[in-house]
Amino acid sequence: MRTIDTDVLIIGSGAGGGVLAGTVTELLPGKRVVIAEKGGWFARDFMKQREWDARFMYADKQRRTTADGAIPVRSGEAVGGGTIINEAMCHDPIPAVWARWRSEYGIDKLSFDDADDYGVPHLNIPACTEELKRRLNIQRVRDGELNENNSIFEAACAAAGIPSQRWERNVRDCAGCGFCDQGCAYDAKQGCDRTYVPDAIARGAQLIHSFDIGSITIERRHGVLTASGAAGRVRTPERGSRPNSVAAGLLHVRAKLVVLAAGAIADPVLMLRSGVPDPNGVIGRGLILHPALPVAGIMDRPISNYRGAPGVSYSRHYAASHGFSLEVSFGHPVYGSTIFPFFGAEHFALMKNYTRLAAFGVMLVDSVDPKNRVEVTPATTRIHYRLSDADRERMRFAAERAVELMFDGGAHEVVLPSNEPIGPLPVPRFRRVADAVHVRELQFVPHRTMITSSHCQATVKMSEDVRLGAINSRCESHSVRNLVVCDAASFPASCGVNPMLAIMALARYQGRRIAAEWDRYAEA
Amino acid sequence: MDELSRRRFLSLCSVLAACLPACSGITQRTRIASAFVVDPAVGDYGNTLRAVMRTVLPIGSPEFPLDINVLEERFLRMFPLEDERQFLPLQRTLTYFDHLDLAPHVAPPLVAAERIAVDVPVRTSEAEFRLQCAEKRNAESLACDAFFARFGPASHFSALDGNGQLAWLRLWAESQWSVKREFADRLRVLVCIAAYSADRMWLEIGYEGPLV
Repeated sequence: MRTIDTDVLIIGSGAGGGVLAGTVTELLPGKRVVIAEKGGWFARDFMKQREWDARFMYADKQRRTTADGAIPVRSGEAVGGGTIINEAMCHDPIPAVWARWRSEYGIDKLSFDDADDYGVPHLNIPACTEELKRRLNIQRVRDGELNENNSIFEAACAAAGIPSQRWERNVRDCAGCGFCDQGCAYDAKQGCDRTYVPDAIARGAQLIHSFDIGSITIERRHGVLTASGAAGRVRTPERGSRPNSVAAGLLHVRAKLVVLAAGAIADPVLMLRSGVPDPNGVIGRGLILHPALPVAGIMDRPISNYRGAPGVSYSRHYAASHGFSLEVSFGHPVYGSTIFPFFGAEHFALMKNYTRLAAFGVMLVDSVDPKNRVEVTPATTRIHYRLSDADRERMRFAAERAVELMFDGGAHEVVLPSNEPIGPLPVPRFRRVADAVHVRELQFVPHRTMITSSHCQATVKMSEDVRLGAINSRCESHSVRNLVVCDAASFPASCGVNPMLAIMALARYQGRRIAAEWDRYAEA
Repeated sequence: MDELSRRRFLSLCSVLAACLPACSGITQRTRIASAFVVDPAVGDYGNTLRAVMRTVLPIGSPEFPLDINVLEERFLRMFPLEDERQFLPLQRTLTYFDHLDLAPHVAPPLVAAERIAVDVPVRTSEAEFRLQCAEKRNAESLACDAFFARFGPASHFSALDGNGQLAWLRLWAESQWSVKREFADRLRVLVCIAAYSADRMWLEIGYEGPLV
């Protein structure tokens, strides 16, 4: 097996790993950094704006689901991770959420005032967020950039008397093509594949993509378990990927510090497969998915829906009271056709309305439930997830509001992706707003009602209490020295909103802290 | 179909899988047991697959732009059932799905993995679990009885008329048993992916497609 020696090994190149790589190479010049990415490295000429071709940029080629097969669990798996295939929705970390983590999970620092955490000037979450906004060109969407699907949502919110907002987006000269979730063909989206990872490479970092890490290597040094690198197999890159920096084959990367940022599903899998001690059984437990329910409305006329920035407008009106937000999104035909569980002429008739469809979704901020978990066995990985009774009740309330809102937007028919009979309705297709009340009977039966997810979080929770979390407030493993876990997995619970910018803020923060505290790891 | 491995399928249907090879009387059509232990030939499920495609989408109606040969060719190119082991459970389940008289006889689950398949929480008490299973089994039997009352004592899905095939697929899609819903749901998704990734479908629904 070949061996590469480095100072810092970062596993993952998405919102967490990419920002960490850029930050560490910026602040620790001269230190060797290796970025290991499981997926390929795709440039703009790979982005063909075809859904089927885009599967290579998703985890498990977009086939990953919960163990019962009912909920797709989508995340990016390419250089750039989720930032290459998301819709560029940016929301600042929410102070109240992090304050709750502080009180419930005992996390320390990660300040929101103008603090100098760990004695580092201006090391706090808002300062890190501002640094990210400058590098990623994060800006609010202007009026002229709104397509009709988003305008309809904003008008519906106004009619219903609830406030709506617009995301900030990390784009530069966006063409408004509407294919964000298939990778940006114009280099407009400022994901980590276009920003922090190239920054790191320009400063000397080595990117090894198509790298299946089998395990983190752990040694006992002076009686203490210590991460010393990772080993795995470099695959021949997928067709369309850029060439790799090493040849295919087995590879061991030895490092002083190992940073795990492979996402909330892969992180616990790698830790458990590598034998990271888990005496309290917390690794992988309490998975958050942000379950989402799409809602479609049929308008009287064709509208611009699949062209233009897909998701711009949202409402957090019910966030504090009921823990959900309403967010505009729109799918291309493959996705659109698969979410409606109808057959034959009924299905085709709905698809014939494609250009007249308005759509948004409910995104539930789900509660931590230890039964929802990533289970790792020697043979397989399973993602166990079921809506708790309380979450199901909130989802019903949210769906009822969403159906009403779609009528407020002018739809003459509203459709939920479900074949469950509710009240007098054989399926949840509504032709009058008065029928929205029947949503209260929806059971969200797996494989009958389509729930989706793209925001896996909270499987390697931060907590100073080892009974509640596997890592401390520095994102360091409680069990293994020189192992840092820093991405959405590190959140103790839901971050309350689309997570990209919160993940990046945590990564920027920890990257700056690691640079300032390098001696903490350098001894090894 | 990644999650539906051979091992997983057998674990979800362990009673069925165990009983059928042993001819233990779940059904008189026990010869179908061989489908679970011997890989079915393409001829055993090809007709079923085509019939499923015709049911998921209105193939043959004047407005629908793809014919069955085009769709089947696309489907098998995107999901090479004959070439990749991950699709073996799909082949076997298609074979099983075709035999109408097997469906009402799903036995009560014995192992934890099967409890997922029947939508009964793993931690439910044993008494409550048996009660819920009995209720689900009764509901499933009633639905199947209603189907046979309407469509007669047919033996194969692929031999039903269009209305019968739609009713049978819906019976699975709306089944009490999660494992049956999963099969119907995934087949529907695969057929939709194969169809709606085709440029000719885009024209029909007014989607202008890529800009690059």
